[in-house]
Amino acid sequence: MDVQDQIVAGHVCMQYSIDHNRIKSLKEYAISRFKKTLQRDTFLALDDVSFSVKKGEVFGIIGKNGAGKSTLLKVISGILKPTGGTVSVQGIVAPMLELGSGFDQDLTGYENIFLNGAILGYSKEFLEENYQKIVDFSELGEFIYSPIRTYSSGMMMRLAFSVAAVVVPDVLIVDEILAVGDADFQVKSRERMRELMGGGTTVLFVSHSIEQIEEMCDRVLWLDHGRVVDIGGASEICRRYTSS
Amino acid sequence: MTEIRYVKKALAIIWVLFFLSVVILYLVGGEQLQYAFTNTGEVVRATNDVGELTTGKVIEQAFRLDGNELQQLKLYGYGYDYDYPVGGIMEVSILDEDGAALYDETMDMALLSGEGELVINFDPLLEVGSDSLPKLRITVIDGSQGSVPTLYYGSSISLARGEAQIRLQDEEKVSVDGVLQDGRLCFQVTGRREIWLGSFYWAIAAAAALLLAGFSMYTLRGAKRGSGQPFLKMLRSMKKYRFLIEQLVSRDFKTKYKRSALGVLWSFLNPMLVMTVQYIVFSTIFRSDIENFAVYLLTGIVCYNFFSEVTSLSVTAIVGNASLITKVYIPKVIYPVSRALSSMINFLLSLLPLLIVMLVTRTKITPAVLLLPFAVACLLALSMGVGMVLSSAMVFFRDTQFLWNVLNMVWMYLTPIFYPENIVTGWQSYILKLNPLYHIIRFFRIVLLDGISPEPKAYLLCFAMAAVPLAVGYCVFRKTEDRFVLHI
Repeated sequence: MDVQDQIVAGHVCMQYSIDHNRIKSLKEYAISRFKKTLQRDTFLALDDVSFSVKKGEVFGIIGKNGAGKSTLLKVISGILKPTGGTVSVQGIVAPMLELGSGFDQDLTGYENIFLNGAILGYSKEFLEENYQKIVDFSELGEFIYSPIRTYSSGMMMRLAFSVAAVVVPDVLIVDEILAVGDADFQVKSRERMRELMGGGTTVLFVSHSIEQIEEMCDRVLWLDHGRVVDIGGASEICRRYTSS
Repeated sequence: MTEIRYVKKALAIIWVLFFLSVVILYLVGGEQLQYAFTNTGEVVRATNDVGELTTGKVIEQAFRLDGNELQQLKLYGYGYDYDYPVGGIMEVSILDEDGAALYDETMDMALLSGEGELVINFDPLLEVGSDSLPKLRITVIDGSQGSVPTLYYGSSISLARGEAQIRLQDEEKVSVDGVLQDGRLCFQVTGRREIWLGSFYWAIAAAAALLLAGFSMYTLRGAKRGSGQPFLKMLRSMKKYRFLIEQLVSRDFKTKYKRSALGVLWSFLNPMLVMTVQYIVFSTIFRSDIENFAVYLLTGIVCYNFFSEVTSLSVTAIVGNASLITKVYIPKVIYPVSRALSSMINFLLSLLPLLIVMLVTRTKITPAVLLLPFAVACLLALSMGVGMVLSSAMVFFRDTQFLWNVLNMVWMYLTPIFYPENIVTGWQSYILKLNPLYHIIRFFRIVLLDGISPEPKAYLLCFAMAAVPLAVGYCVFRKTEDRFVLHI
């Protein structure tokens, strides 16, 4: 492995098994097991995917729905264990998948910053240092001391984005750039995202917007039905993808 | 470099804990560490008497004791309702197997008048050979009809409900004037046996210290080279995820009573109220003759509540956190562990009402309570082990939650929480002995009620009954955790 490589994926396979004849009870299970009609079809969500991402690179992943993009991101962030092949990632991975999933409705915004920060892997010192920054960015003001069940959904997303965006991780995983909050906040969050992407952080970026990908990424991986179609420079791959 | 400092700190804590426990165990363990205390078993029900103890009467009763030193002899007799004062002279002797007298004392039979209970304390302790069959002999030297007491014998023991016949071998039967009777004398001999742990205590402690020293060296060397020894790995992840665990525990604790008016007071109130109800039920409707029933009951309730809370919270530990597990990578063990730890806070709070009840009932609080952290750790380990199996099973088999509700109840009735443990006899007692909670609760009760350290075997049993479930639970969890995300 090259020192410069941040993420190396080698022959990654992800196989799901699907039951066609959904077993509903133990009796049915026993019978079908006995009759050997218990058939499980398998489905390859990722099939022999290999690539490497260098430090500081913005790496895009494109493909149709169901091509395996999200599965690949989950494998890289360690949520899914691949059924075949290896993935190695250097440094801290910050998942920016579905914000706010670690929030607890009964806790205040203040308590949730620490809870969610801990879930994202930040240290206590880091959070205490950056607490003010997070509150300022979220524009929540005094509401930070109210339980978040009293928040509007926009306020909640703003808080979630602020917690996630304050860190400068080694690897940032972005599944669609988020349209959070009102227009002003959207501009602000997009700017922060660009800042991160330009600031030496390795970024894995998934989007359906080919323009965004072309604009932001250095290199692009094209997935189709779990297989790698091609890897290469952003503009070239995007051109071929749109024409296909 | 910071890692080495962290490892050094962890090792220092382990050493301090080690020294503390060696010293505390020595000071508090006292006699229990050096001797095993035994007796000749339960006293039989007094159903027959041996007749008046008139001059020349000889009563002989052999007994077996799992020990080599006798401490005390208790004889149960009866002084009839005579017009004359009861009196006379008898000789009480203990003979060894060959018939040589080990102990001999002439005493006044007046000691047995009324519902007489004669107690002889051997001082110094009476040495009998271990695994021998000594004999108690009572010879009446002077006693005239009409003014002497009698001794009882019988062949059944009383249980909490009814009685049970016991089968006696000839050597266990009482003989009156050389004639074997169908029964055993109402008597009890208590004694003790030296155990090897007492004599080797410091040797064992030194050996453990040596082992620990070796382990420390090995770990430090590993830390310098940055190797992946299991212990170092554990330390690293503890350091990394400590903050997260703190946050999760404080969340669980804060949200538990968040919207209730009495809040954290419930941690005190709940065991108190449960105890009050059960105390009323079991001290009025079902009478039980347990000494200090309130403390007995509350100890059981507090321990069982903790176990029950941890396990039922663990059932949903993985499934309930599905939204996190599918989005962020966190070692999954953290979920059941954090739930167990937040219940731990609750448990520690509920020890306060226990303390209050102990003070109110004037139960003596002795230094033996210093041994409680051991029992608490065992209880935590057991609950966590069971919890891990449950949280993993729940992912693949959602019926687990309903099944566990039932099993939890069954387990509760299998554990002597509100009934005395001697109610359980025969094959049921084997089940009782297999119940880890029984051993742990028993440990609590010996420490709190008797104020002494349990026998060394109890430590081993508690440890094994906690470590095995924890190890099994952890292995099951680690084996299955990679497939969780596919099923939630």
